[in-house]
Amino acid sequence: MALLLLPDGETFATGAIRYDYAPATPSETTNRIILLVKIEGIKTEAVLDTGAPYPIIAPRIARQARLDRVTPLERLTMLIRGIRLEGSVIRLTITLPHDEGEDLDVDATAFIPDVEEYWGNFPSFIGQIGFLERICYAVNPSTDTFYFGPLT
Amino acid sequence: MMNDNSPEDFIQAMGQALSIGDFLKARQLSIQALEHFPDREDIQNCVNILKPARATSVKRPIDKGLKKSREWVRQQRRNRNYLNQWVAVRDGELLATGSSIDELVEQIGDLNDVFVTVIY
Repeated sequence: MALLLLPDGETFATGAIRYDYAPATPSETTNRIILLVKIEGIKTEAVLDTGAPYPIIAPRIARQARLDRVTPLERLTMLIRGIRLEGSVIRLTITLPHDEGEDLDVDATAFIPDVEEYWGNFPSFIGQIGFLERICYAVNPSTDTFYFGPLT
Repeated sequence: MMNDNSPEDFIQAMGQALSIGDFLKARQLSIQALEHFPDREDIQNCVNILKPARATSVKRPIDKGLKKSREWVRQQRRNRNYLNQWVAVRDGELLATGSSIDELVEQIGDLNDVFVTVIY
């Protein structure tokens, strides 16, 4: 797995990792890119979703990471997967670990739904605003590789 | 917003912007609010939460145990094992399964050095 370079020789990606390609929820049959992440140190997976406005942290993961004790910015209602969910907007660190290169620590804004029962067993999602918009990323579907790096 | 707005007005406006998905407006409002109320802790908190994400490359040794655990999960997905279950795996060894992450924690204690995920 080689890392990517820009025309001037600078690195586009500083890290790369193999992702899984599988449904994100029990009701789905379409495969999604599932990335290994560390959410405030908890080693788990998150679904890459460029259509999601923020990273959405599964409430039970958030509780295990003690993010429910962080002072939120705002109570918010978001329409997610057809359900209106109340929750909090907080700041946290999500790490993309590497198979090659280096890890990427992203100090990001994320949404945590309040009611665990409504979110159920869905995993966490990595969204565009608050996360992906501030990193360089690329996908190689032939090797299931996700490349990432900081914006330069 | 006008200069006579209170910190609470700004925070309310940020909330409204966020609730309609206008993240950039909320961010601009937080910066505006900080100019007017630089010493307010709640405004500082808003600015901190809404500021652009910052990504930093960090050199760390590769987590070989985690790599083995991911390989184990990948294999189960391929074989359609443990469907709809949460699994806790360390160094490629299954520690626990459950219907939620809470059930995993009940069985194994803390999640230190454990990879937890759900298999669909």
